[in-house]
Order: sequence, then structure tokens, then C-alpha cells
Amino acid sequence: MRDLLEYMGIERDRLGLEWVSAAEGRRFSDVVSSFTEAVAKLAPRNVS
Amino acid sequence: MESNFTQQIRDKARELLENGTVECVIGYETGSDGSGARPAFVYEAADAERMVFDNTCTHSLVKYLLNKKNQSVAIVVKGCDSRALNLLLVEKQIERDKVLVIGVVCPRVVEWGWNKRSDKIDDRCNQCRQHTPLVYDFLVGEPVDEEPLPADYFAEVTGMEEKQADERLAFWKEQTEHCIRCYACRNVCPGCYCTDCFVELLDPEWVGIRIADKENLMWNTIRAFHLAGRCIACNECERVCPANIPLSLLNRKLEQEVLNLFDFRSGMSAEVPAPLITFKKDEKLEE
Repeated sequence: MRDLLEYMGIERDRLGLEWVSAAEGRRFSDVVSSFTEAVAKLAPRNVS
Repeated sequence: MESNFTQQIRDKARELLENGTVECVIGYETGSDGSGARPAFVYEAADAERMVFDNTCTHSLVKYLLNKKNQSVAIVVKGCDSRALNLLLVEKQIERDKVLVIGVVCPRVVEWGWNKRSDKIDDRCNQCRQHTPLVYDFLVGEPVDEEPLPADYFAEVTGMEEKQADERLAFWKEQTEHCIRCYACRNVCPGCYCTDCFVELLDPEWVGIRIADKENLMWNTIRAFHLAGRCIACNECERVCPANIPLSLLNRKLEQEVLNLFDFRSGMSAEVPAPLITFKKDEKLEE
């Protein structure tokens, strides 16, 4: 999927896949926070 | 040769219907305006005379089998269509023993001409390396030796990859901008048989129903992605697209990825399980 996005001109880092158990609330929060931070750092992509 | 094909198909269809082997034969007949073939469903032996086979028999008939799961059916398939048949067999959508396959060694079809007969061989047929059906019970025509895939099969994909990311995004935005979201690409695709397609679901709403740039890009990306490792490269989606979106350029990219990762080409066998629906204990996610 990342390769397809890149092929279409969208940075691969805009897509993430992580495995988080329902019992890992803390980890879920960390994953989402770091991912949104990382995406926010990328240059804005205007697709419309 | 083609009239001979027609005769052989008619004879076989008549025989199968007369002795009750099948209830229906799915094949081709001449369309009402006479310019080309259209799909035909033949239920009576006497109607077998309607059937034809020529180079306007473009349509893949395989998807109709999904509507006839509980009937014994005979179906006319070309080389490319046989890959669609294998796909549906691998994904357990049809049962092999309920389908009698009349394979036709494909003489190459011509470009689809609305209301007129074209003489130009379809481009995809010049690239095709599967003229002889991979699966059949009865074969019309002599099997031909298939050549390996041409070296430049992925040339257009490579050309696209060489562009800058901004150019690529601009290209796909421009292409998908014309999409009228008729979903013809989906409806013709032998791999797109979900009764509830994500694009029409409202809860959750995966893609907005608005026909606009963002939504169009989303639809076309996900459509391609849902066929990763499943697309049989028949290019029917591109043929039916009224907006001429180069959908094969997306499909080819995924085909290349799957070929490189799993050494797999979809629809080549009914036995080899598809990589993306197979789990191996020892496989690891590599970054």
C-alpha cells in the first residue's frame, strides 16, 4: 500500500500500520501521538 | 478459422443442452446493431444457432457464473478469461465441477467500437501471453506456444516511477479528475464481486459519494489496492472506462510488486493459493 501511495505521489510515511492489543491503552496513545506528529511534520499535501 | 470456431461452439452447445449436461450455455451472439458480439445465454438446444465467435468477442463472460452458482453451466472462455476463472476458483466463488469450460484459443480481439466494427487489434492482445486457455474441458482451436512476458512489460510503470513525486501526484490528480464514478471498472472486473462494495457503504463511509477530486482519487486508489495480487491483467477496467483513465498503469504497478515479492501472477493456476490470503508461520514483516 505504501508503495502504491508513493507511486501516486503521496509520501509513504503518511500511512502507518501498527499492532496494538486492546489491553495496551498506553501504547495506543503513544502510537497515535507519534504518528500524528510525524505526519504533521511532512509538508502539506494538497490533493484537491 | 473463425467461422469454424463458431461452428464448433454451436455443435458443442447443442450437444450439451440436448443431453442435459448443462442447463445454460454462456457464450456470444451478434449484437442487435450487427457491429459486434454481445454476451448470450442459451437455454434451448435450438438456440445454439444464435451463438458466434469472432474477434469482437471482447467481453469476459466469467463473472456471469457468479449469478448461476446453483446451476450447471457451460461457458465460453478465451485465454485471458481463463485466468479470471482460476481467480474465482482460488477464491472459492465457483465450483469447478459445476462449470463446463469451452476454451477457445484466442485469435486476438479488436478494439471495441461503439456501433461500428473496428479492425485494429486491441493493444492488450499484442502484449498478451495467454492465448490458450489455462483451464478447459473442451478446446476450440489448436493450442499455441506462449512466449515469455515481453521485457518491456513494466516499462510504463518504470517510466512513472522515474518522475518526481509532485509530478506523479499531479498526473494522477488530473487523470482521476475525469472520473464520473460510474463504477464500470468495478462492475466489469472479475475480481470485484463483493455484494457490498466499500464505495457504496454509508456506515462507515469509507469514501464520500461526492464526485470530486479527493473522493475520485480515493476511489481509484482503493479499487486498485483491493486487486493487489488478484488482478489478472485483463485490462477490461481500462476498456470500459468512459473517462479513459489509465487504470492499467495502477494495476501493473501492483502486479509488479506482487511478482517481485511473491513470484506470483494471479489466475495462472487454480491450485496455487494467492499470497495475500495465505499465512505462513515463518514469514516476517520487512521494512
